[in-house]
Amino acid sequence: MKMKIVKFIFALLLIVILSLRPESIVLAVTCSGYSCNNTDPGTTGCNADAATIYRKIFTNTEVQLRFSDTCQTRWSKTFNDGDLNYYGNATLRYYYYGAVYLGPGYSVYSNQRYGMGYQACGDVGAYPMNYLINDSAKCTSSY
Amino acid sequence: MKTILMKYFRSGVILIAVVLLATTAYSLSGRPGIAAGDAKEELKVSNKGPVSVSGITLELIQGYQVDDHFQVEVCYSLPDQRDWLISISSTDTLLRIDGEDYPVSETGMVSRSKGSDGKYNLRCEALLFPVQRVTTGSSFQVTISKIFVSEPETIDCTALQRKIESVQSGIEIQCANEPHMSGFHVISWPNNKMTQKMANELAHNIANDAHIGPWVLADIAK
Repeated sequence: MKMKIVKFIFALLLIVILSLRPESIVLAVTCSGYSCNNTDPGTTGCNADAATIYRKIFTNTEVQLRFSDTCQTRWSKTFNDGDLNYYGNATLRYYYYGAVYLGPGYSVYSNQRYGMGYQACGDVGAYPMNYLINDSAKCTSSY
Repeated sequence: MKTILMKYFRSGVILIAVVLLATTAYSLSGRPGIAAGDAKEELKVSNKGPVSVSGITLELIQGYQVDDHFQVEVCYSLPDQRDWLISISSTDTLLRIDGEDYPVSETGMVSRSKGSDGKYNLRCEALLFPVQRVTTGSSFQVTISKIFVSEPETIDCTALQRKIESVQSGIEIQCANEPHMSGFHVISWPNNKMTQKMANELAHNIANDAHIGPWVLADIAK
């Protein structure tokens, strides 16, 4: 009798798992609230439902402010829109930056932060930019 | 007498036919402002939509001057829950005003709405163009050529390679492999059919499920 109940529960669990839609599995995230601070939105899974809130374009550069509904976090992302390799920087204003060498069409993104009122800043150029970018002309509006 | 009346009747029919033909020809060729190809053509017609192309319906809400930018607000239907964006490259989205074309310099999401199923199905976006002193009553036209899903921070390169292969064989890609870096590029392609630039664009269009327009809308500045 006990075995039958165990088997029944197991079968029930299997049905529930199999009925989950792929997107609800993908949306599983490994942080929430303040525990997301200074973490990678890609590896934590927060990027799965990301929305691009603001975009700004200037020479060879597109800066994006990205937002996760699930994690309620924001981060910055910068694309190399040029035809050559450049150094790229994506800054979540006053907090984090990511800086890498980018091929054309590639992007760099910052760590994420919980809360609201953040701006994305960024740039691509011929020299490494291993610092926070704070030039308003290179920043989006805040969200 | 009967013959004279018949002659008048025939002449009348011919005259009416000529007038109808001329009116049709004018309405087909002479609608000022809709054609996207002639930069000098004056825009006089409001065509705010909604316009449906490639399964996406887009509507122009309004356009007005905000400080040193001209702001155009549009709303578009979302094919699914993902982050669908208007391509703002200078080859994809342009504002035409006074015979001049301007690319987008900034965008901002105005709102997202959910349908009765609780899923996002409409997005409204503000497109900012670097144009100064557009006066109220000026005609403008916006051409949007592509709407696509934003590129994720992490890419499953094997799955993406399969997806591209299912549409266009012979394209091989390489993906970013450093922390905090995203993207991919083509490393081989059928060079008897396309250039590397074309292959890269095609691969990105496939990856991002790009919907190709154009959506062409026109209005009067507020």
